Amino acid sequence: MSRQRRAPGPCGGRVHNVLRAAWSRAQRAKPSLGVAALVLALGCGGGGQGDGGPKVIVLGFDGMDYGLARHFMETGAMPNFARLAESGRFGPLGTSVPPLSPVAWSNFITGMDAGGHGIFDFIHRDPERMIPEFSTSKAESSERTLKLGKWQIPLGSGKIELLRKGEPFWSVLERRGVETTIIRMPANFPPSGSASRELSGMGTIDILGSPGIFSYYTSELFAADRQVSGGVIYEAWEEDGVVHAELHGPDNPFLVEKEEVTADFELYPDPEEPIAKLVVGSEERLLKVGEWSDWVPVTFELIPTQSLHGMCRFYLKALRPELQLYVSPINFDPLAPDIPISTPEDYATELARRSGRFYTQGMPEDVQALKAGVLDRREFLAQAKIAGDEIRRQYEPVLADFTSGLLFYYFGNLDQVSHMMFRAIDRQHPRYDPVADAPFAGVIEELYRQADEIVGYTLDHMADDTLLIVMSDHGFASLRRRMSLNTWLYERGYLAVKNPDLSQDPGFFANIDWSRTRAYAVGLNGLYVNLAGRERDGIVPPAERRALMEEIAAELLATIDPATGQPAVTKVYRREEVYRDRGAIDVGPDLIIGFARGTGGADDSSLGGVPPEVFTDNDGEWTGDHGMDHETVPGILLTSRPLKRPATELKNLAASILAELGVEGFPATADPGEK
Amino acid sequence: MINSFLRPLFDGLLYPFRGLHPLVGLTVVSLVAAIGILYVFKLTSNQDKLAAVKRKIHAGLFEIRLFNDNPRAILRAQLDILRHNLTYLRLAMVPLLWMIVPLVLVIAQLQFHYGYRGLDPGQSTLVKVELAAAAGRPQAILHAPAGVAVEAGPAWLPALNEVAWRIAAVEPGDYELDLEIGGESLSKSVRVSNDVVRRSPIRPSAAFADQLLYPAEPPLPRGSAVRAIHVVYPPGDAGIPGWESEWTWMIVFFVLSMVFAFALRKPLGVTF
Amino acid sequence: MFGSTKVKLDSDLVKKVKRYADIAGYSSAEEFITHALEKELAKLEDADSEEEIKKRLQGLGYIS
Repeated sequence: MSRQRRAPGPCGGRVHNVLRAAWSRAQRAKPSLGVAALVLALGCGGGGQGDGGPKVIVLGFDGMDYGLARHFMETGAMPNFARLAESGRFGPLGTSVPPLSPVAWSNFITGMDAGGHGIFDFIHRDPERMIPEFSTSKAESSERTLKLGKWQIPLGSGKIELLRKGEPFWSVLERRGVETTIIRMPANFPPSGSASRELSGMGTIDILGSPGIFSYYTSELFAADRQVSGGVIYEAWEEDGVVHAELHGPDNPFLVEKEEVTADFELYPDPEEPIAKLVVGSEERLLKVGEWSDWVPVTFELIPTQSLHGMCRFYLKALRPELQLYVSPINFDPLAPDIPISTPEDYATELARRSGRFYTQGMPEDVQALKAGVLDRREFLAQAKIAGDEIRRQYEPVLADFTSGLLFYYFGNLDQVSHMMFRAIDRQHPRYDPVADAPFAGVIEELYRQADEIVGYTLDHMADDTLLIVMSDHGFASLRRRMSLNTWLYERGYLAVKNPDLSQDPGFFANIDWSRTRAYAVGLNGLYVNLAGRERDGIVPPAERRALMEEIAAELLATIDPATGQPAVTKVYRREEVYRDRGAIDVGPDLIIGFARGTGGADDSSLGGVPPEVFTDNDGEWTGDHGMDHETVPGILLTSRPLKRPATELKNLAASILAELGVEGFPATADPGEK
Repeated sequence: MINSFLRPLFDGLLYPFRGLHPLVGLTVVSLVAAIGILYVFKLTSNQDKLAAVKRKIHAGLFEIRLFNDNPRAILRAQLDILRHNLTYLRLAMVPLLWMIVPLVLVIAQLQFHYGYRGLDPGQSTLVKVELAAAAGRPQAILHAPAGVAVEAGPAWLPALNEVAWRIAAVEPGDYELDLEIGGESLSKSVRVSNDVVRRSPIRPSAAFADQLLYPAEPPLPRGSAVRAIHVVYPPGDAGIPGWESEWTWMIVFFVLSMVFAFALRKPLGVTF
Repeated sequence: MFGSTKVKLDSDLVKKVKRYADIAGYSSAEEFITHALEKELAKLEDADSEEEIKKRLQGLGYIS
């Protein structure tokens, strides 16, 4: 029996079979050549022209806010949106409870709410082990291994499991013979396997099994003692004209004793000029200070015949007086993916061949590096632009290939950058600084302009009879105040701690005394009863659960934020009432907290910590958010013509799309009252 | 010297295939090589003796089948086969020796046609100047022609005895980079093209071994303070995506030549 | 898996182990010791993977 290992482990055993991939590509190429010849023969060739079947393109802009979009349409910053709205429809699109991307997109995908699809937050908790965990996917290594001295051979393959329940709408379409291409749909990692072509997006892990862990190499003294979230700081010095350092991979799944795999790299600085040469294996790059490298492939040898294929981007921040080198999270290389990131398996490789390597990690914008101060705002924006440009560049061949059926394409840049740049447009924000923020005041408008350009590009390149749908999953608001639910529960006696000195709280439930705790919070909006028989150390008898929930809900709604004089929470939802779908409801929190617009949950509390203060000013870089009362942060829906079946919220949008493609009865399991 | 003759010869021979899929040219080249190998084999080997030895080996194998209940006979037959095999190797060695020099020259030329992929416009790569001796920072200037842009450098890397630049391909074409290193004027070819054309990743020193290994470009002058100038080309894939390696074409070449040689030995009447 | 290793234990402890192995229904003292060690190791390994889970969770931009 081997113990649980992190995600890439078992996948290291998968040999990337180039021959097979090349063969299947060749096989696929045949029919498309035939179609191309036919189209030419019929004399109806032309960019993006279809074959006559119904065509629907859905562009998903994560976090596009209804109010901001309307505003920019009025000021003329979004002419294509405005044009489309005239011929079609534009309006708000109701989001999910809570309004968080994995939940919201799962509502769209399955036509069900979280009670049906089982994604209630970014973070859930394992009630048996009582630890926070990711909500959308789970990695399991092969249970059995053959041990040979210090080596072990996994018997049977490990797997990464998608935890979202319910049938995705595209698989219904495929069953009816409608071809679908689903690019970067959130909460779809590993890819469902049921679309004709799929690339996984938000939720896809980096080589360490995380949403993204960057590395930072510096010669600053004691720098490595600093713990940062989402990254690791390493000390590195120049000696005799060279800096020797290592890239850090996951634990080697072939070793019985846990041991991280590493790959050496060298940096040769010019002794006088701000430039250096980087050497990673057989790869060489010349980088000026302030420059980003392209993707540098890096191979981690596991055993002689097996290796992991990663890639990373380097950013040379400074050479003198101190070395400062940022290295992006190591992404799985789409040219040789060791984990499933696309359907068919070599589709990611095909895309990379056509428009270059790209971030495979689900949320590529490195917000963690900005929060940790490793990148400043300009550097972060440069990095986010690189990531955004890759996705825009990749859109061109995907759109060109689209001839019929459904194309979904996702853009996450607007959401991630809005999170970091919101204060520049909110003078009321506690961190707003008119001087420092002035250069960034136009960033958000620029994001909306870019989205508008993508819509313009699509209109120029699609067939006239295509239905274009532009949508977002939720809106945005300034995040001025933070509320720690766990501290609130503690102060009101619902939660007990082991050490009352909360400044020492290590988080991850470590300081919670379960034997005296009746309720706790984890995730961005979830509140759970410490229920006997469900939670490992549950103490609340099931008969008392309901009364406890009501009591907490009433108290939360009556809580006033002393800084604003306003209620901090405007909605408290009981899961049995707010969710109409069933099947996965047991996974969810007992109460879902709808913070007032402008307020969000505190980070520490989200990971099971109990920080000292209930309310704090938001003084971090993360200044925009949407994890609030869902009615205050709707997304958008823009269609090039009125829909046969209008959709008012994410949950019933897929049914409308299917109706346009001639398919009724989705989802099969939905609450009939909703239809 | 030979190289300066071979370079235009191979450029000319492979010219018709430059715009085609690399496998087309490689197939033809392998076919020609197979025929060449067979002819050299026929001319330089003692075909009669080879045929005789092969018959004896077959006889030995037959003997083993025949006397399979007589260990002594089997042992003797095995020793005979071994002896004849050695004779076969000796006989085959002569044509192999004849072939080795031309083959090395041919392979070296082909390496620079098929071993590397071209630079596309927009693609960046490094120009590296290897210095002969460690000294202070050399004066270093790179004059780029119109089709190539200098993006970064010069970087002086004393630990590597190297001066490097990053250049970007702008427009397709054949270019000469003009370098001034410590007062010395040198040039290095760079090709921006995706065709099957000769690419020279290294302009070598005048040393014989370097010239043998890197025949794609005339060597640097003797006594230069520069040991070699590199332009890094990405490794080729012989037209098979996913098989990027400098040696991919060679595997394809050897496999195809063998197949052709076996297929053609009867029609050409060659025993081997 | 391949072969076994001898471990020296205090003789009092061995006596105790034998007695409790009997009471707890183990077929031998070895089985009891093996089981006890496995249980302890599993705990430690669990703690390990918890550290990894924490590190990975911190990669999520939505929390610090």
